[in-house]
Amino acid sequence: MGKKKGHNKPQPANSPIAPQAVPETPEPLDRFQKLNAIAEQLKSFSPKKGQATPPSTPEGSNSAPAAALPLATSTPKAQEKADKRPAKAKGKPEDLNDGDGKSRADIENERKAKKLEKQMKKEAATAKKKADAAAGNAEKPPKAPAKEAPANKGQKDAPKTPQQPSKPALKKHFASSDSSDSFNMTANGSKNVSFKEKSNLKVRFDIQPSNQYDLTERPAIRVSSYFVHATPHNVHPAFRRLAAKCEFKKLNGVNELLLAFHKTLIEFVEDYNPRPDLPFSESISLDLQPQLCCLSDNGVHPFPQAVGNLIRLFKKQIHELDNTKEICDLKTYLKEWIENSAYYNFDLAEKAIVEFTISKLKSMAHRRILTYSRCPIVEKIILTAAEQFNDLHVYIVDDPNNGSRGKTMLESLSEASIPCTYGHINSIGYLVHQASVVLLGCSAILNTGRVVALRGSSLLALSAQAVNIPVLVAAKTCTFVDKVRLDEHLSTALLREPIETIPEDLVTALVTDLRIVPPSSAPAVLKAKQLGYDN
Amino acid sequence: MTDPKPEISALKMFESLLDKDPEKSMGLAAIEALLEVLKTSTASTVQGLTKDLSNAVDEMMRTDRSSATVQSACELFLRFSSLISQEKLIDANFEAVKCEYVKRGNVFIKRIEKSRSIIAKCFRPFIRSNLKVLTHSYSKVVLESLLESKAHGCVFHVFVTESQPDNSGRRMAEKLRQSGIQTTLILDSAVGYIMESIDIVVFGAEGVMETGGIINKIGTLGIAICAKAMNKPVYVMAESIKFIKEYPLNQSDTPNKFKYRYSTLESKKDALDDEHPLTDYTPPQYLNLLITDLGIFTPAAVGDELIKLYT
Repeated sequence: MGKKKGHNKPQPANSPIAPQAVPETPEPLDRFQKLNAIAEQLKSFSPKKGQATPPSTPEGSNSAPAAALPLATSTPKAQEKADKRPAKAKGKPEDLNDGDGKSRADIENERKAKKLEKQMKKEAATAKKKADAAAGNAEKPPKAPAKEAPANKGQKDAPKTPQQPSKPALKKHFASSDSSDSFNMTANGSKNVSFKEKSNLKVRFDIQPSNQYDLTERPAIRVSSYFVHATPHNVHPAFRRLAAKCEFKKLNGVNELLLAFHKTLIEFVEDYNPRPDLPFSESISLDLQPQLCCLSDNGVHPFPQAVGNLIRLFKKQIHELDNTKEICDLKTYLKEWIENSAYYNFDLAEKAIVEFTISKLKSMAHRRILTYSRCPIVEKIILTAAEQFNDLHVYIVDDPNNGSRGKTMLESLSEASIPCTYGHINSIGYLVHQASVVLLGCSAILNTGRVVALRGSSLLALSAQAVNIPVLVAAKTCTFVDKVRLDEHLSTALLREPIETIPEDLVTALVTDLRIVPPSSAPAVLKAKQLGYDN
Repeated sequence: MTDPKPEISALKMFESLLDKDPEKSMGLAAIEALLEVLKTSTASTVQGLTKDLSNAVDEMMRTDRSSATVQSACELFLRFSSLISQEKLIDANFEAVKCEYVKRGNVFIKRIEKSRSIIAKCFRPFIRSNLKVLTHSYSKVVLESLLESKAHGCVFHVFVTESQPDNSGRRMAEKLRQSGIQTTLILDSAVGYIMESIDIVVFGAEGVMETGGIINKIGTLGIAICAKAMNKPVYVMAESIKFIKEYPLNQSDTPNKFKYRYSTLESKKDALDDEHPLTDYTPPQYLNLLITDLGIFTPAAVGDELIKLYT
C-alpha cells in the first residue's frame, strides 16, 4: 500500500479520512472540533465483513496481534518492534489470543485514543512553531529603540531555541509510529482497523486550553434556583452590549470587566422606570433578575468572583433604600453609590496599592521585577516606580496560548523607557534566577488566602519559592470573596479566561488598598469590608 | 531627675529607669518615660501635646538599646492613651483632656506590668519534667517564665547559646544557675550538634512583625531553621507591646534602625555593609506558636491581633 509517504501529514493519504485536508494553522477551537469530528467518523466507519467478528477467523486473529502491537510500538523502540512484527504475525493465532489479556475492543479504543493524542500533539507543535514565527515578525516593528531590541530578541531566542531540538525528535517519533501503523495495516491487509467501542470515548485535550472551555459541561449543582427567562424585552441593551464585548474579547481581565459593569449598572438605573404597583426597591430588584440571568445563562455559569461581590453589594443597597423618597432621588442615590464604588475601588484603591508596593520596592537593593501576562494594576505600579527609581528592570512572562497579553504590557513599558525582558512560560526557569521579586495580579482572593489568578501564575509563585524570592500579589479589597474553593475548570459567565488558584503558602504578601497583609489574614479583610455572606 | 529645664529629657528618663532596675522590661521603661513627659508637658492643645510626645519618642529611639521594642511600645502607648471618647475630646478644658490621657496611660502601664507574669503562666503547661529546652541569648521574658516553672516544681535542663558578640548568653546561664536550674552554656556554632537532643526551643523577641515573624538577637534565624529541619517546636514569648506595624519580606527588607544601634547608624551611614547586624528577622514559617499576654497565637493570627491593637 505504500503508506510510508507523507510523514509530515497528519494522516496517510489513502486513509478514509484523507479527503478532509487538515488546514495549516487552524484555530484552536476548529482543530478541536475537527478532531472530534474525525473521532466520530472513525466510530461510524463500518469495517469490511469478517473483520469485526471474534478472533476465530484468521483475519480477526491477525488483527489481534496487530492491535496488540501498537501498544508496544508507542515507545521509542518503535523500529525494533517493527522488525519483530512479521515474525509475530506468523505465530499461532490461538497462542497469541490466549496471551492477550485485554479484550480486542479495549485495545482498539486505546489505540485510537493514542493516535488522536499523537496527532494533536504534532499539530500543536507545528502550530506553535508557526505562531512563534509570526510572533517573532510582529515583535520587530515595535522595537524601534535600538537598545531594547537586541536584549529582547536575545531573550526571545533563548527560550525559543530549546524548543527546536525537541521538534525533530517529536517528528521522528511520529514518523516511526506512522510507519509502524501503516506497516500494521499492510500486515493484516485491511484498510483500517475495526472499531467496536463499548463506551463513548471522548478525549479532553488540555494542552491548549480552548478559551471557551467546554460549554456543554454543566456544574453538578445548579448555582441559582431563581429562573427568569431573559427575553429581548426585559433585558436592557447595556447588559447585552457587555456580554458581547466579553464574547469578542474587548474586555480583558477582571479589572476592565468590573469598570464596564459599573458603567452598565449606571446606565440601567438611569433608564429604569419602576413598576407602578411595587415600591421602588422591590421593583428594581425584580427587574434586575432577568438582566443577571441573561448574563449568567440562568445561573448555570457563575459570575466571576469580584463581579459577584459587586452585584451582592448592589442588591444590598437596593434593599436598604428608603422607598418613601422620590424616585429620581432614589435613582440618583443608587447612581452615586455605584460611582463611589467605582471611584473607591479603582482610582483610590489602585493609588493605595501602588504606594504600598513602592514602599516595599524602596528597600530593595536590586529592583528586578518578574511578572506574568498583563495586570493593569501591576502595570501602574511599574510605571509609577520607574519615575522614582532608575535601576528598574522588568521580566515579563507570557503565555502565547492565551492571547499573549504580556505583549501589550511590554509595549506600554517600553514606551516609558523601562528596560524589559520578555519570555514565554517555558523560560521561567531562566528568568526567575534573574529577578529579585515577583509581582502578580489576581482576579479574586478566597477566604483561606488562596489567590485566584490567570493560569500560569502559580508557576511563577512556585519557582519564586524555589529560589527564595518574595511573591507579592496586588489584590483590591473588592476582589476578596467569602469562598473556600473554586471550580476552576468551569467557565464563568462573562470572562472566559482560564484561571487557577495559587496556594497561600507560596505567597509572601497580599498588597491591598487597606495595607499589606499576609494571605492568612484574608478573613480579617473580609470582615473589615463586610463582604461576608452573612452581612 | 531635677532639670533646670521645664521639660524632662525623655531619653535620660528612659536610661535612668533602666539603670535603676536592670530587670525592668525595656518597653515598660519607655512607656513610663513617655508618661512622665505627658504629665510634665506644657502644651495647651492636643496637637501640641502630640508633638511633644512624638519628639520624646524620636529622642528615645536614639538609644543604643533595642529600638524595635521602644518604637512599638511607644506607638501602642500613644494610640491607647489617645483613644478617648469624642465628647471628652471636644471639652474646652485642656487640663481635663490631659488628665484623661494620663489616666489611660496609667491603665496601660498597669496592664503591661503584668504581661510578663501572664506569659509565664501561659507557658507553664509547655514545660514537662525532664525536658530539654534550648534558648538563645538573654531574654527577660524567657528567664521569668523558666524561673516560674522551676518554682512550681518542674525539673528541666536548659541549654543556652553564648550569643556573641556581647556574650549575653553567659548572663542568662548565670541567672538560671542561681535559681537551681540545670544549665549548659553552648557555643553558637554547636546548635546543629545539640539540636537532636533538644525537646523544645524558646526565644524572646525584640519585635513581632505584622507577618507573624520576629526580630531577635542575631543567630535566631539559624536556630529556628535548624529546629524546623529536625521537627522541634519553636515557641516565642513576647509582650503585646512588642507588636510592630511593619511588613518585612526578607532580611534586606527589615528597616536598618532595627538591625543596627543608633550610634552605628549615625557614624557609618554609608558603610553599613561592613557592619555586623545585631538582629535578624525570622519569618513566620519557622515559628510554631507565639505566647503573649493576649493569649497564645499561631504566627498567622498575629496580623489579626495587630489590627485589633492598632485600631
